[in-house]
Amino acid sequence: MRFSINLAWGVMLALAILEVCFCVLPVNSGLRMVSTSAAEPYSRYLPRQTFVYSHGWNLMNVHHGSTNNLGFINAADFGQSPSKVLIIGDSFVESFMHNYAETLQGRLASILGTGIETVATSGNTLADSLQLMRKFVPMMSPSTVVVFVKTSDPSDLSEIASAPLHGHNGFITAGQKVTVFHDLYQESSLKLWVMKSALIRYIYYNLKFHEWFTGAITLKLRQPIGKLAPPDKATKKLMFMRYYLAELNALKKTHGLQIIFLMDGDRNSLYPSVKNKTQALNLQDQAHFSRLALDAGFALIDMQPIFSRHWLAYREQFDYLPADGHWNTVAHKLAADALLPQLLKVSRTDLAVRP
Amino acid sequence: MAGYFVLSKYSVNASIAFLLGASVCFYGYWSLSFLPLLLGSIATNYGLGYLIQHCKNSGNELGAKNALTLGLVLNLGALIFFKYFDFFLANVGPLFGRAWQPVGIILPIGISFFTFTQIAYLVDCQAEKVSEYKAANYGLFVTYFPHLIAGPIIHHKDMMPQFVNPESHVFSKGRLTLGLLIFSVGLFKKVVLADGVAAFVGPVFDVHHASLTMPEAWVGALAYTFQLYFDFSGYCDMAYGLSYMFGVVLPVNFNSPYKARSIIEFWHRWHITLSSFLKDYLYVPLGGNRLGSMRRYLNLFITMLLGGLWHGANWTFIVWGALHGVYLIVNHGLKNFLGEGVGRSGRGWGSGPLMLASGAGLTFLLVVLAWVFFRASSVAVALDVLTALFQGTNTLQPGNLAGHNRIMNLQSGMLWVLVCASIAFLAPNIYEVLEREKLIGIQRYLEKKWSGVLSGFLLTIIFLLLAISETRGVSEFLYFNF
Repeated sequence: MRFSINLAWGVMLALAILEVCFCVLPVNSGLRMVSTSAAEPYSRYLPRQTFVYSHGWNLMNVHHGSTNNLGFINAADFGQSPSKVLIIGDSFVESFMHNYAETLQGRLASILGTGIETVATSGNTLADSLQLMRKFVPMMSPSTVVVFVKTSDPSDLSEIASAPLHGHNGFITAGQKVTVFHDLYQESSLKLWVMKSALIRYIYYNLKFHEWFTGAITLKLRQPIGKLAPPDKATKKLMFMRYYLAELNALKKTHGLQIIFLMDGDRNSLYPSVKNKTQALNLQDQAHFSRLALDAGFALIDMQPIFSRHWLAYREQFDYLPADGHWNTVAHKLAADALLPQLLKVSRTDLAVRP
Repeated sequence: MAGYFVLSKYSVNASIAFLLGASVCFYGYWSLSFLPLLLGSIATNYGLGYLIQHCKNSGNELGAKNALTLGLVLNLGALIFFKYFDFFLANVGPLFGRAWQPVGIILPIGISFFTFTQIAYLVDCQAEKVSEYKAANYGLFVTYFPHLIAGPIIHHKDMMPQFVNPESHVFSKGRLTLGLLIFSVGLFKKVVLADGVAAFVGPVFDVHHASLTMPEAWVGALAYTFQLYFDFSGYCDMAYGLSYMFGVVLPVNFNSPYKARSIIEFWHRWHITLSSFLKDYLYVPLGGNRLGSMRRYLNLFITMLLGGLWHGANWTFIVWGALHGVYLIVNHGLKNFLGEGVGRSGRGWGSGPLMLASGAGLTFLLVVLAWVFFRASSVAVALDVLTALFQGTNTLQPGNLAGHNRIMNLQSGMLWVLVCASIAFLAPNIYEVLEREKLIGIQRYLEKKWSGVLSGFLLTIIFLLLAISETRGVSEFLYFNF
């Protein structure tokens, strides 16, 4: 009995020492999200919130920053000047680990001046980008919208038929009709309380212990809506893509927009000795989407040939793989360089760039 | 552990059988398909050991010798088949103008270790060093889970008395705490140091070996030097700690090898049980130093060459072994020519601080250069990295966007190497801190006072380290491949 009590004392002593150590270290602080609703069905953080970012067990890519007045990261404050370009994306655009000047949007702003707006949150899907456009295009009135499309992640094109994460959107069918479904996010007061501990934040945000504990990372958690046989799944994906592009076309006509898709490349396929190459299924979905988008008259910048050329010339990576697949500053710079000529030709819409 | 100590209260034999069963299950967890091979190997070697003893007792020396020869042929035959058959096909085929396709043989996990352990057993039987022949005890000796997968290589005469010692069958809180302490040091080495510095190895050896700057090549080579040390010595510490909790003390396998001041000393500190095995069962039977200097050097070279080949079927391991063979020949030659650098009194021509530091620096440099072959996937890749170490090979056009951090975060890599080097060069190892002679005293002290608090503390740290390891993804010990 005495041994057990001493054992418990030892556990508490270790937890206390670890807590002190992690308080000093740049543990990921996390960010409080705004609860979503039918009126505001998209994910964002509390405005004007400061944060510390670090990735993984070894606190990689430490970065300090704050959200803008709308609750987005690496985004200029809205309302400072008339909007020219709206960039919509996910964690790749949000880019927690970089300074604003190093990001795609920051680089464009340094060349084009003010008016580059960014609305991007981790885990955003194509359905999220549609909802964000519905909300922010009328509000900001940009002349061009850039939509980042990912090809190598749980929230990428291949998962277009999957259920959304909390606070995000997905496509569903009701009969033959496609619509957008929003999974509400409500902030948990318990989470708010326990996240005061640096040790718990380390375990939650840096180690992502909850994801491991519940079975695996997001990919395995996100089951497709219903149990679809492969042919049905492929049909649904095409249906959702067509619906998405039709809705975007309607927005484009209503607001006189230029919409440019910025498509991530299959970076893994360039690197030698990478075991988990992107599955052919992803590439097939990507090809379908590209064809449909171009046929529908959208501009599309495919980063794959750009990455490929740069890799051959310089052999430098575009991300932090194998630890973290997010774009590094090289990829952001290349994307900004690829977008710039297109943005300078604002008057010439519907031009597909296939470098 | 609970089952083992509860059964020990009633019967030592039952607890040995229980631990044997648990160890077999442990192997089955790693590799169920090769479990029959392990069990077959144990049964065969046990039978042959028994036969050797029987022949010896009845004065039949020839029979004992034949049984030993059969054992060596069977053990080495299995090892050669599983480990080197594909290598043989790939390299011998072209000599006959044929392109024989590799069969794709999968290496059974731990085969190198359990084969060498059993060869040593048979040779010890022949030398009449074995006095205990219980089947269950022998099974436990081979399969004992802390050492089964990646060593250390153990000897029958060292282990058997410990398995049957009544004291080791009584649970001790102090022993548990000490075991946890040593285990957690090993786990820290593996999870934090080895896996942390490993991030700077792959980009150099696997992706960019053909085009490297000098700093990139050095960070990659040094990172691997420390990754391998902390990975394997971490595993050995964990094995030692686990075993200590059961009251069984395993041999020490690493003794701060990078502090060595000569290559000879390095091999007394690195993978000590393998070095001893190669010395006792290969170098000495080849003639050792009994047949003159030239023969001694040849024996050294052959021993190191085969030691290299033991690590795997690749020319890189053969070159690595040959390099160390040459290093040892030069080191022994110099020692003969110049006399003992540092005598037993601590004095001699090499005992000055400058000479000691030079010796340590040169030894470390030679070891690092040899590790390049050990890590590279081919000799060509190794030569790429070696060339880059001395002149840089980055011929790509200037103007890349990430600057010095082109292939990895170079500053971060340098910092990791610096931290690892400081620990490897300056910190005492756990066996120096907890000397074997003092272990019982510390154990008794902990038994009375701090075992509960310290165990709770260590269990929490171990849980955090395991959480880091598990959430990060699979990272096997490097020596599981050998």
